[in-house]
Amino acid sequence: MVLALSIAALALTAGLAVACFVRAFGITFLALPRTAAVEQAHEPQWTMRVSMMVLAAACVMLGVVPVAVLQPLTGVIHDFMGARPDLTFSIKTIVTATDFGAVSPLWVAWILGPLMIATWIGLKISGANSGRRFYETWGCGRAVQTARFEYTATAFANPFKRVFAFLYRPVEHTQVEAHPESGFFVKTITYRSDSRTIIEDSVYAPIGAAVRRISMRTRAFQSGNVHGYLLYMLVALIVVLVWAKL
Amino acid sequence: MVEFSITFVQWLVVVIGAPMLVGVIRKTKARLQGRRGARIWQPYWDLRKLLIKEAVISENTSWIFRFTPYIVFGTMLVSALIVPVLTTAGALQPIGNIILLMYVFLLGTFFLALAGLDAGSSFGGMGASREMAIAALAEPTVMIAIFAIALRAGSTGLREMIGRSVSDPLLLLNPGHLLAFASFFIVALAETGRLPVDNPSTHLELTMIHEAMILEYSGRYLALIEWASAIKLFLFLTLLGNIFVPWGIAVSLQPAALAIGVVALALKLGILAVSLAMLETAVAKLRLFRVPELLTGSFMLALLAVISFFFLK
Repeated sequence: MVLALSIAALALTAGLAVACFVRAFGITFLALPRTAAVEQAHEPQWTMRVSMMVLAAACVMLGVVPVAVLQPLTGVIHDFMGARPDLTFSIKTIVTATDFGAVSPLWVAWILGPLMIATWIGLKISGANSGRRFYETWGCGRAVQTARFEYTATAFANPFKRVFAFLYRPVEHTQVEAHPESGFFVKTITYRSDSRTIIEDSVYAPIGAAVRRISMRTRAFQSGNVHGYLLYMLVALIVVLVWAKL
Repeated sequence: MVEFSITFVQWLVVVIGAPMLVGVIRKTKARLQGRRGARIWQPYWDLRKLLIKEAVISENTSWIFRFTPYIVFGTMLVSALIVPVLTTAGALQPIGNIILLMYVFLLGTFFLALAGLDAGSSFGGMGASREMAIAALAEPTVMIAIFAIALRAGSTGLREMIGRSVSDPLLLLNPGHLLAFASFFIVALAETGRLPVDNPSTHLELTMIHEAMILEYSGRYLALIEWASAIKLFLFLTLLGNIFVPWGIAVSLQPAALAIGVVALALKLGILAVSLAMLETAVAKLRLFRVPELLTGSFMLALLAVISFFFLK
C-alpha cells in the first residue's frame, strides 16, 4: 500500500516535471519575444555554449545509458547501507530482481533514431509533397500577431493551480473598467492572481521568521565597538579556562 | 530469423491497421448518430491528401516545430515494436516493459506540447497547457493500474503480464483484475484524447486539447501526427485487449496460432472500437476542471485493485 502510494507520488512527480520543463523551455525560448531586450538577444560565442552542450549531453546520457550513474550509485549505497540494490545491469539493459522489470533504454534510442530518419527518407521517396511555405500564425481572424497573444507562464500553470487549489489557495481579483456609455466597450482589465503554498507558508516561512528573530536579538551584541569585542574575548577566554579546569 | 519477420509483420499490422481502426470508430459513431458516415478507409485517403499537400508553417516557429512530427511518429513506431499485438514471442519486445512504453508515449507528448507553444498562438498554448495538466495527472493512475496488474504477473514485462493472464483464465472473474481494467480504460481515454476527456472530432477552439496543440500543423507534418495518434489509439486498445482478455493471442510462432492471433486481435479491437464509439455517443465532454475528478476516480479503482491483490490472491 505504502509502496503503491509512493509509486503514485513518483509518477506524479515525473508528470509534473515534464509539465515544468515544457513551461520553462516553451515559454522562455519559443514563439515571439515578449520584451525589446529579448528581441535583441543573440547567441553567445561557442565557448559559452560548449559548457551547456556538455550538460545537455550528460542529461541525454542519463536517459540512454543510465549505467553510467547506476554503477557508482550502487557503490555509494553499498557503503552507506551495507547492501546492494537487487539490480543487474549492463550497458544495454537494467533488470531488477526476480525479473520484475527489464528495460533497455539504449536499444530504444538506437531504434528510435534510425526510425525517425527512415520516416524522413520514406516521405521523400514516397513522393509526399516536400514543399513548405512560411506564413503567419493562424489567428482566428485577428490582423496582427503580437507577443501579447501568447500564453504566459502563469496562464500555462493555471490548470495546475486550479487542480491543486487546496495547496495554493489562489485568490483572483479582476477589475474591468468599461466605457461610461456602454458596458461592452472595455477600456482596461486588471487581473491579479495571488496564490499561497502550504509548504512555504507552514515550513519555510516560520523557519525564516525564527532565524530573523534570533538574528535581531544577537544584533545587540554586535555593537561595532572595539572595546566591546575585547571584553567578549576576555570573557570567552575565562570561560574556556574555567571549562578546561573543570 | 522467424521471430524478426513476425515482429516486422506485427509492426506492419499496427502501423498500417491504425488508420482503419479510426475509420471503424468514426463509421460506428456516424451510424449511431443516424448519419451514414464516411467509409472505414477514409482515414487513408485523408492521410494521402495531407501527404500530397504543401505544408504551411508559421513564421514564428523554430526547428522544434518541424522536428516534432518526426519524433512523435518515431516514438509510436518504437512503441509498436514493444507491444505484443499478435504474439508474445516477438523478437524486440524485451527491450522495454510497460513502464518504458508509457514514458516513450510521454516523450512524444512532451514534444507536441513544445510545438504547441512554438507558433505563439493562444490556441497552441492552451492546448499545450491542458494536455500537460492531464498527462501529469494521469501519470499516477497509469502507474498504479500497471502496478496492480504487474503484482499479479510478478513482472512489468508485457510478455509476462499477458502470459500470466493466458495461464489463468479465471483471472477474468477476479475483482482486482476487473478494477484494474476499468482504471486502465479510463486512463487510455485520457491518454488518447477521447471523450469524455477530449473530443477528437471537435473544431471549436475553446474545447480542444489535443487538436488545439496541433492546430498549426498542415501537409505532411499533420499527416505524421494524425497517423501517430491513430497508432497510439491502436496500441492502447491492443494493450487493453491483450492484457486483460488475452484469448487467442499466440504464445508461440506456430502458423495456426498466429492465424488465430490475427482473428482474435481483429475481434477484440472491433469490440473495443464499437464500445468506444458507443461511449462517445452516450457521454458528453467533461468540463476541463472536472477531468481531475474522473482521473481521481480511476486512481481509486486502481488503488482498490492493488489492495485487493493482498486480500484475494
